[in-house]
This record gives sequence, structure tokens and C-alpha cells, in this order.
Amino acid sequence: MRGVYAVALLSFKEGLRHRVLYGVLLAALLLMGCTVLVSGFFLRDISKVILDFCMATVTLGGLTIPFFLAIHLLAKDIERRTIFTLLTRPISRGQYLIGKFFGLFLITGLIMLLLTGGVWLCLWGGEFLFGSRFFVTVSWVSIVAALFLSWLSVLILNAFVVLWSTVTTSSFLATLLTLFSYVIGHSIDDVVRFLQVEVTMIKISDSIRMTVDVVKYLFPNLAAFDLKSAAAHGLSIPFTDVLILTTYATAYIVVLLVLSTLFFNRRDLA
Amino acid sequence: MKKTGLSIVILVGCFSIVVWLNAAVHDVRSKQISAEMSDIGRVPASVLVASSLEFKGAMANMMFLNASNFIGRKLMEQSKTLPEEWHQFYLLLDRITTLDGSFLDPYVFAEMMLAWQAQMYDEANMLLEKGIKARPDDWRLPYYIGFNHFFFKKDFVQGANYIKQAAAIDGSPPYFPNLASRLAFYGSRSKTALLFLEEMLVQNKQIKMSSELEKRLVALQGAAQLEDAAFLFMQQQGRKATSIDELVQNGFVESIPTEPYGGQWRLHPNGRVDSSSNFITVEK
Repeated sequence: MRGVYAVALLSFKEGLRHRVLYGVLLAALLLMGCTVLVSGFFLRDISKVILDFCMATVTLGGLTIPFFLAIHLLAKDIERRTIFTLLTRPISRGQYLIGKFFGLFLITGLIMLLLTGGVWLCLWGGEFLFGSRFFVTVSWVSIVAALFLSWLSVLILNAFVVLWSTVTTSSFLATLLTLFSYVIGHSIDDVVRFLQVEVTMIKISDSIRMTVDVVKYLFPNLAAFDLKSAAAHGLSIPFTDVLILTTYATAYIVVLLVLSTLFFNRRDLA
Repeated sequence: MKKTGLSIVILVGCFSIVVWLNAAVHDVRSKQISAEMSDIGRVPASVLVASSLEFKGAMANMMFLNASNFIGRKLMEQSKTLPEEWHQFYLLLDRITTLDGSFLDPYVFAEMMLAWQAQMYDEANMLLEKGIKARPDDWRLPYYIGFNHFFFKKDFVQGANYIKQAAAIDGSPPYFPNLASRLAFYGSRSKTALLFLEEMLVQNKQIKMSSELEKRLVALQGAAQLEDAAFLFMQQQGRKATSIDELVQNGFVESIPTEPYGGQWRLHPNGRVDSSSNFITVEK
């Protein structure tokens, strides 16, 4: 456990040292600021527009971690062989991977938390500029729930980065595979729903149906974690839904990390 | 010093080029905006939904801005919008409402632009119907459809039905029941208006029976009574009554009902009865 904690803390500190992180934060906050001004071009749904853009920015800020920082912290660690300096200490390969994941867990959480503060500032600014009558539907419980679920979906992607970094030999390939996982994760549910609708004019082969049936269990249903639109409209997000998604994400992350450890233990790093 | 001087000359020269090209660049962008409007309209809704991933709300907002720009540009240039452009505009609003069905602004825009400017009432109503499904608690959407039926399509009965639907939603203005009955009345069906108002008063116990509503109810009862009498007259006499007095003289009504707004009852050849007051209090 101490090994995991040490690697996690080290990764967190190493992540914070990257200037790109501050650039992303600044850019995201600037984008949010512009959102307040742009929302003035809309007719009535001003709070919805501000929340749509701001929550999308929080998610984008979070996504920079698996697509840029995580690759740098993990895949390049393996690619450039800097991993050896850590593995010479009494830390197992499994502890190293889990520690790296928790480091990313903390960085993602911090970035998204800071950007959530930006959402609060934007709503406050919008209310100040346009009046409180446009902000009566705002529900902070829904906003926090939606952003928490968004954080969970980013964590799943972080776990994917860990997995792809252990099975591939190049950081570029790991990024590409993570990107594919993200796109498939967001589309697979729609494909499943499409196949469930019996369209008489279109004949779908059994092999396609079978492939989709397998893929829907292999890849996470990331689209289910997207409740930003409901939160933007001030609709409540049922607690049971949050609980189901949290359990699903936790189980999925554990599966990915265990798989990663298995692959990594057998990998020849030399 | 020489190098600094040269740098300043290059800087000023290049900045002059930037300023000089500004208008031309703006024109290039104008062409791009025009192309963008058409392209987005043609993208199938399912493709847009799939490609927006988890940013559907933000995507809908951006597309709405695009639609606003298109209309704004047309207004600024004072150029006529072609039917094909209006159709693209409708498609764009349709895509936006597919991405985010609960987004109110596109529905308001559909009513403002498609119904009022483009005379595309059916398209506007189709979008508003979509909105009713996504926002069942919003009285504005059935109200807009009701208004379109009443004002543009002259379908008074449908109009009254939608206003009735809007009036049944919590938070709708208290004058809606009255308005709906007025619409139904102009639809040549006093009985419908009367029944609607009575039903509305029974269903919505929170509606206080204001003196205005009471007055409207009495007026509608009078109009309906006279219309019933005119109908009976035609059935029994084999011809249409020519005036309200004729109905009284032949015993089809005991006395002329009170017109609470102070006007005079009028019997039309089609059997419809209305008042010279148009149900607005006549100042004496």
C-alpha cells in the first residue's frame, strides 16, 4: 500500500509540474468567461447556455489528462525506460500501475474541481449581468452530480491509458487506442439502441448483431455518464442513477487495472 | 539600432497589410458563414447526434448561434430570404431541437421567424409539437401553436384546443381560460366556448371566478341560448330567422338575454350570434 501511495504522490507532483496543465486551466477559465458574454446573444435559456458551455469546458479540461498528461506520465515512462529508476526500489509492477492511476485520479479531480469553481463564477457573473430571473432553474445538486459523473468517465479513460500503455510499445499508439475507446464508449449505446429497433426495410446480419453484443460488454457505456444536458436544464438526477454509474465505473476501472497488471507483469521491459 | 529600426519598419508594414486586408478577410468569412448554414442544415440528425459525443448541449448552442447569425445577417443586409434558405433554417432548428429537445430558444425562434416571417406555419407547429414532448410543463409551446392556428390558419377550434391545453399547465397566465373561450367563440361555436370555460373552471379549482370571467360566462350563455333558438327556429319554420326580435316574437326565447358588455346581440345569416361589443365593455 505504501508503494502505491508513494507512486501516486510522485505522479501527482510530477503532473503538477507540467506547465501545460496551467495553460489548460487558464484557457478553460478564459473560455468560460467568454461564455458569459456569448450567453447574452440567446433569448431566454441563458443559464442553460452558460452551463452547457461551462460543463463542456470542465469535461474538456478533464479529458486533457488522459489524452495528454497521462500519456506523458505513463506511456513515455515506459517508452523512455525511466520506469527502471522506480522499479529498482521495492515497488512491484502492479503497485506502480495502480499508483500511477491514483496519481492521475488526483490530478483529474483537482483540475475538474478548480474548473467547477469557474462554473460557479460564470453563473454568478451571468446572474449579475442578466438578472436572477434567468437563473431560477439552476440546481447545484444536479450540476455537481453531472460533473462527478463526468469525472468518473474521465477516470475510466485514465484506466484505459494505463491498459493501452502496458500492451503497446509506443505512446502514440496508446493515445490512438485511448481515443478509439473514447469514441466507441460514447457511440456503442446508440448502436445497440439502433439494432434493438426492428426496421423492416433494413436487414441487419446476425454476425453484426453478435459483434455489437460482444463490444457492448467490452467497452464502457460512456454516453450514460453524460448527464450535463439534464443538469443544464435544472432537471434532477436520481441518486440511484448516480449510484449505479459509480458502481459500474468502479468495477470497470478495477477490471482495466487488473488486466493492465497481468499484461505488465508478463511484459519484457528490456 | 539599425536592426531595431528595421524591425519597426517590418512591424508597421505588416500591420498595415493586416489592416488593409481586414475587410477582404471579413468577406471571406461571410462566404464561409453562408456555406456553414447550408452545410449544417443538410447533415442528418443521427450523424450530428453521434458526432457530438458528450457535447450535444454545447453543439446545440453553437448551431443556434449560427441560426441567429444567419437571420441577423439577413436583417442587416435587408435582403430577401429565399424559400430554400427558410427550409434550411427550419432544418437547422430541427437539428438543434434533436440535439437538445428541452432547449427553449429554438422554439421561440421558430415561432418568431418561421411563423411570422416565412409563413411556414406547419413547420413551426411541427417544431413546437416536438417541444411539447420535451417540455410538457411549459405552457408557452401549446400557446404558440394555438395562436398560430387562430391567427394564421384561421382554425379557431384547434386554436382554442391548444390554448386550453396551455391554460391547464401550472404557471400559465390566469387570462388563458378567458382567451380560449374567446377564440372558440370566434370559431362560430358559442356552445364550445361556453363548455370550455365551464370545464376549465371545474378542472382548475385554483382559478378564482373573477368578475371578468363571470361576465364572459354570462355573455357566452346568452349567445349560446340565442344560437340554440335560431337553430330550433330553422328546424320548425323551415327558414332562417332574420333577427333576434323575430326569435322573441315567435316564442323561441322568452326574453332577450342580458349582454353584460353593454352591446347589442346580432344574428348572422349562418346562425352565429355575436355582439356589437365584441365582448369588450362598451364605454357609455
